[in-house]
Amino acid sequence: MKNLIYMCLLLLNSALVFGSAVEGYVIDEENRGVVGATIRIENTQKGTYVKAANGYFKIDKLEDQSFTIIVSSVGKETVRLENYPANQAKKIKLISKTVRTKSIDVFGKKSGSAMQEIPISIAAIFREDIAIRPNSDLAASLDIIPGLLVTDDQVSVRGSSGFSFGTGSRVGYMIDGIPMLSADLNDVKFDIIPMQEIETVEVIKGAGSALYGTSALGGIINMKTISRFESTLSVSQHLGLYTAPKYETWKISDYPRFESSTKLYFSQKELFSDLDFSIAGQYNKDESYRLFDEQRNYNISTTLQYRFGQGGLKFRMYGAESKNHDWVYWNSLDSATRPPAGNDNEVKLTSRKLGYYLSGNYLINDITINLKNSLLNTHFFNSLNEDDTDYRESDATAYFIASDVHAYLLDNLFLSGGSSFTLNDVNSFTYGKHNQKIFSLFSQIEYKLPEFILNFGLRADKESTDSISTKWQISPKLGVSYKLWDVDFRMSAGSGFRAAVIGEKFATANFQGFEVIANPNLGPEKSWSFEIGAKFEKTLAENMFYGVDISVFDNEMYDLIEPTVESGSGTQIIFKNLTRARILGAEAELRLGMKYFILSTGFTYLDSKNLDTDETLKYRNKWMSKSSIVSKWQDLSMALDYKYMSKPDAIDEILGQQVEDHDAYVNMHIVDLSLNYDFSSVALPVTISLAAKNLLDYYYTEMVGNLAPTRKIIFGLEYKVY
Amino acid sequence: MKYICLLLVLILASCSEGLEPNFKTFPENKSKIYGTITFKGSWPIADSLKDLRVIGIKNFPPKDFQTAFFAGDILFTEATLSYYVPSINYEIVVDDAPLAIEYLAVAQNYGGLLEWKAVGVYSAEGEPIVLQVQKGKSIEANFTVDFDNLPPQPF
Repeated sequence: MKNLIYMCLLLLNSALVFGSAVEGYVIDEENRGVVGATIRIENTQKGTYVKAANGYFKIDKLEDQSFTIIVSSVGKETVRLENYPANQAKKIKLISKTVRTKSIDVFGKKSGSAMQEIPISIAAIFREDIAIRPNSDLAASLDIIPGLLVTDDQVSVRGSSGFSFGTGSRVGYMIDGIPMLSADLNDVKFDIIPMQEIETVEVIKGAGSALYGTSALGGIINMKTISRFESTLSVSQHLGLYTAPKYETWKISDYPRFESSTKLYFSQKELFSDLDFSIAGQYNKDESYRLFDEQRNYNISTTLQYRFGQGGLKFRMYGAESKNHDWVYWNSLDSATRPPAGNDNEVKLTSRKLGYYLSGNYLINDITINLKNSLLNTHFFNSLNEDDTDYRESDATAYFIASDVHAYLLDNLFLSGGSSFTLNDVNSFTYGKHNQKIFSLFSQIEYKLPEFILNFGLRADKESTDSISTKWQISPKLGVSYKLWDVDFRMSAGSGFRAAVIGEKFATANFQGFEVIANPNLGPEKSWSFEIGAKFEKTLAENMFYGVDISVFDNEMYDLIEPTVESGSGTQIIFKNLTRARILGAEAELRLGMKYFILSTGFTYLDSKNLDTDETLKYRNKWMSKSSIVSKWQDLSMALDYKYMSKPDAIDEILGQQVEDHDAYVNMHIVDLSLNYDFSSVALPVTISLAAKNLLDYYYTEMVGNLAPTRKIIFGLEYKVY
Repeated sequence: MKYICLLLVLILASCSEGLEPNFKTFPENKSKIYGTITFKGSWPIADSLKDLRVIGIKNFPPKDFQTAFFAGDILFTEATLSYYVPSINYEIVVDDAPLAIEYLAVAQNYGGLLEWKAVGVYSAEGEPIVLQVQKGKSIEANFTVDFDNLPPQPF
């Protein structure tokens, strides 16, 4: 610390010796400071970044009186200014590009970072990617990201999870940087966020516990909600119908089965002074392509955002409820659209979620301070009586509080640090009455030169369930990015861990023939991720570009928690720390912009192995490929998506004792097509859409004994009132 | 546009049709009757619910239950149906198709081994529907049991 003070004094002294400086304000179209913008003096190694909220920057220790400077920022047109005078603070306006380059906000930095600057594999989808496809839930929207598999509410990044009965996500899930996993099952609740509120979805691939703690074993999903509010009101409706299946034995009705979704979004910029407001809601009803599988859900959320000179506050409150038939698996492949014979068809599962979060940031003397607080209550129960052996119920609340600080120690040295506390309080018929506490400390330092970025993070987590504590989990992470010949090379190594969740430790439940047994001695699972990669993108002309991103990775996993069917019983399931596993893989992504359309395609190869048994890990797809063509021509836009996944090489054979045709898997080929026409050019604020999900009506399974959705034709209408 | 067409052609060329029914549960010489039964009215008290199954009778009307049972003229669902539920799925595997099932019903066992009564019949306009079961084929038959309005008894 003493050295640091000496260094600061030395720098201050140096600034006094040399009288010349380049200074100014980098602002955007709305005269707001562009934090993170880069200023470089041409043909020198001198440069700086904008750290102040008002866009002020200064490069001192200079001798000349005029300079040529280059000012750039993510998503803005780069500006080159000749004869920029010394010691005059001018305003430099950066204009937004309408191109593909996007800003993302990983590592909790206040400013955005260009994706190629980040030394880990990261994918992002944006508001327009979501809007062009008429999905009624977010899970379907995420399905275009290479290496990601979303099955129901379970997310697997690069094979991190197989089939886990929906418990214990190995992927961290956050909204605006705040963890949003349930307290009892640590599962993802996609329906707590209305889709119209989403601005960006960022997916970090690989272990990220050094920054995000437990659950970030395989990766992170961070939803960013709208932060720049407009005054708008829109309502949209879509109606989908499942076409009849090809096979007579799968037909369940003489009439089409419908699915519908209604969405409403209202936001008001500067409702009072600097207070922005929004409210969003969504109602979905799905009759389903299967018998006794009807689903209904709705959600509503409201956001208040207050901006003041050097900071801001954001408060978001939300609620959601879903009521679904308790479908678990099919009767058999022959009657794949019906539950098993003898099944009580009227059992319904109700799931309610209620929560809020409050986040604030304040910039003081180039130091950003963030405070976060959240609560997420989840309550699910089925419609059986308590004395029924299949009755399930759980009421769980996750409380979270965190604070972190981010500061530039030097022009090119960025430090983050903070702490967080999570309390998972469970009061449940199925899992008992338990609580889990997780206390964390973390720090990260980033050293940034024009062509080189080095970051190192360290996090320590202490977890205790009831009165039993586990050891401190130390999770380091190192990342390096280096630009050479216009190629951004990256390398990262990091560890991840996931504390066993209450649902895995204490579950005692029966459902459709399965009996889950408690295992209170379940310990955490851990991982190490290593990756090297390279990214290259070249612009040929306006809207003409190509780019390639290649990575090779190794995920070493220890004490992996797997649901294990007890041998002999066939139906008793217990969660155990069983597996030492290794997932080696490679991923390649290609992007091609050809004026009127953008083609992106990604290939993922996974070689997953259980090192204890030398067998392939169960329910992992060796090959994955996802391709999209997005086209916009005048008022017509189109998205064509194709997903291929090879069938899993290994499955749990013992499930065959309970699930008929448990081994019915094929390679998947799924094609989705969306067409949208925007009438706003003829003064009609309406967009109509026509889409087909699973256009080829291809039949496949993603989960054991579950026929995936058959073809659905969707008609949509969006009306933007203002 | 030509790239889009090319991609579509490639996709279509690479695809099979995916999963299809394997008819594993009734191979070659087996068939099945399946469907959903909806219950309404007041369920009988538990003491009189010894068993509840879907039955199919080949030759209707039978002389009596005992004769038909021992002659192999009655097919049953493998296990008892759940009680006190609004609806339930069932299936009966038919080993010796082709044949006609002349009477399909839900039967309640209310006492001893041979004490059964029909509580709901697969019928149209009061008459039992005859099902022609073909070899290797399945037939769907959905019907309602109204405990407050029992059908005429076959035995």
